[in-house]
Amino acid sequence: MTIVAGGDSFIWGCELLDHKHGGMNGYSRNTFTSLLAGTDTYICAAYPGIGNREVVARMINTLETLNDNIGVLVNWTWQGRDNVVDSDLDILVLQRYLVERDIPYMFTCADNCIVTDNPEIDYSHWFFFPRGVGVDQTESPRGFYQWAIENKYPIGSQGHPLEQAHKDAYDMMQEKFNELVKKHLQ
Amino acid sequence: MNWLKNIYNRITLEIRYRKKLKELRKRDPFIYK
Repeated sequence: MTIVAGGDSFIWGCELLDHKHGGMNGYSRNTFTSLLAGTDTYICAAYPGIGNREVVARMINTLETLNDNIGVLVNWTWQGRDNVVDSDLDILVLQRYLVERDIPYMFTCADNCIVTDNPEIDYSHWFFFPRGVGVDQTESPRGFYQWAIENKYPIGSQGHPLEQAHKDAYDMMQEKFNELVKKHLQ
Repeated sequence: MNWLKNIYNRITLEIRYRKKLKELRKRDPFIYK
């Protein structure tokens, strides 16, 4: 089986030790997406600095080259990068594509500002990090970046959560990812 | 006077939209300008 991951620098693995460069195959294998793929074939369609519109374009371009036995994991980024107040349309384009092709998927996000009350978005396919309990923590379910920062995980000089955050995120996501994605693949 | 009210409403909406967008962009610590 093949796991295709989409997102921005978090999924490319910027600042992780095994991250090589921004070119072909320069991505890290220690991101939570790669750890969730485990021994399965892993394709990283993410790229640093991109917005959700490009996330969708890169995902669909990659998926079009693949046939069966594919699973998808996307970490949505901040919608401000596309100069829009929500990314609903982009999310729905990918969601519908995946449903139509019967590709099992799980979505998550960097920041919960991406979440809207749009009833067409199937949030049962999303993983959210548990809500914070501290005074200055996010009270609603959180995105990866909010969860990592608020729990004071080590971050790199450019601000990316490092290996420990990815490892702990992987541990937390594993059960839902298996249920939504891996269970449906051979 | 309806046209004037319409223009006023559009401008108000646009200001609100831009304000929200600015706040959202501030939330992104990695924004590449």
